[in-house]
Amino acid sequence: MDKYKEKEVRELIREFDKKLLEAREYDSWLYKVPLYFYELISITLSFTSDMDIMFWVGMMNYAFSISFEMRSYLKFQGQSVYELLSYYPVTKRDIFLVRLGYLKDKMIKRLVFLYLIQLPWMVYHRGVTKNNIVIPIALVFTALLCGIVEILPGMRKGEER
Amino acid sequence: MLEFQHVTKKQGNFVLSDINFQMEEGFLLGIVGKNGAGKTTMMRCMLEERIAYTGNIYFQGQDIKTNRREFMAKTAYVADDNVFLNGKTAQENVEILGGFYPEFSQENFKKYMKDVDLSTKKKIENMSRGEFIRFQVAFARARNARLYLLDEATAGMDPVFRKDFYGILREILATEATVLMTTHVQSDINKNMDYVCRLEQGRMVYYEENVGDMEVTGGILHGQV
Repeated sequence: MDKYKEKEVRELIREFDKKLLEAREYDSWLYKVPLYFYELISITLSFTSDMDIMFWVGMMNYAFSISFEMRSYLKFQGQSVYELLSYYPVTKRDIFLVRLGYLKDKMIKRLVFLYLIQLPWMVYHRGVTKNNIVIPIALVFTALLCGIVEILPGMRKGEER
Repeated sequence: MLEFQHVTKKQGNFVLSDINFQMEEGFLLGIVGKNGAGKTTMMRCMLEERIAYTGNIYFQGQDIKTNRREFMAKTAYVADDNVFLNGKTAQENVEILGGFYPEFSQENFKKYMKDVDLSTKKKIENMSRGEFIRFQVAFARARNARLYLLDEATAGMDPVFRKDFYGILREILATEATVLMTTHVQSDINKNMDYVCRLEQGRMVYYEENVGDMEVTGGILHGQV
């Protein structure tokens, strides 16, 4: 068994990510501007009473914002973080699991927002319907799928070296 | 000790075939062979996480496949295709990346950068090939690497600095580290290698202590074979 403890290694990756985010200069806005834009649209649409708009546009925006946020952990000034770490004492599995952890944290925040603010708003306007249950779940799964899709190609790129 | 036991790696039509050798600490092994002989593939077997090969590679008594994190913490790959944060300075790079190595020391890094006559404020993207190699060696020393894998590290280095570079490698070897180095430069082989191994079409055809009368033409090692 590898003596380098998994938990310690993941902590090192998180520390590395933190330093990398702090080190971002010009390219950070490439991620932040679209991210804030999608967030703003998502939140605005969350308070519309039109269910169709909320479902389709809201779902797209959730997915985009998750994708953009996950991508910021995978690229640094155009360089692949997986590629950067390929000769370091970490495995691709370690990196993937840390990224999955970020995705989980992000999803939890989304769920809290959905069920504490958005859902009561929908119930207030439309009453209790099947859509009230289906839409939040669909949103969460779409966003989760987009987040995972964003992480996986990074792993494949790392393997191609 | 570094040990290859019956290592075989197939890649398309190329086969790195049944590589066996043992290498004690404190020695420099020169790997020579024509382009496509398998030198880089041999290094990749040690470095790549998901490379599929048969046989076993042991470092300090542990199988590197099952102890990858520990192995990589002790290993330094020095080559011009190594990846660092291009837009950042040498100092910024090691501040971000040095955290992966428990033995990394900022003070030592500054000292070793001075030894190779390189500023810590220079950006990676502005470094020449030789400077990039020297930076990698300084970083590896500052984290106390135990195994150095140098892929054509001295190619393109000026003769004056090449001499100094081997002086630095001797200092590294004195700390009981192991160095493997691929090279095409004949003077490097005769003067500086402790052991020499020659690969031909994926097979190791020669592995002996260096007696200093090798001759390389077109990547082929003659004499003592």
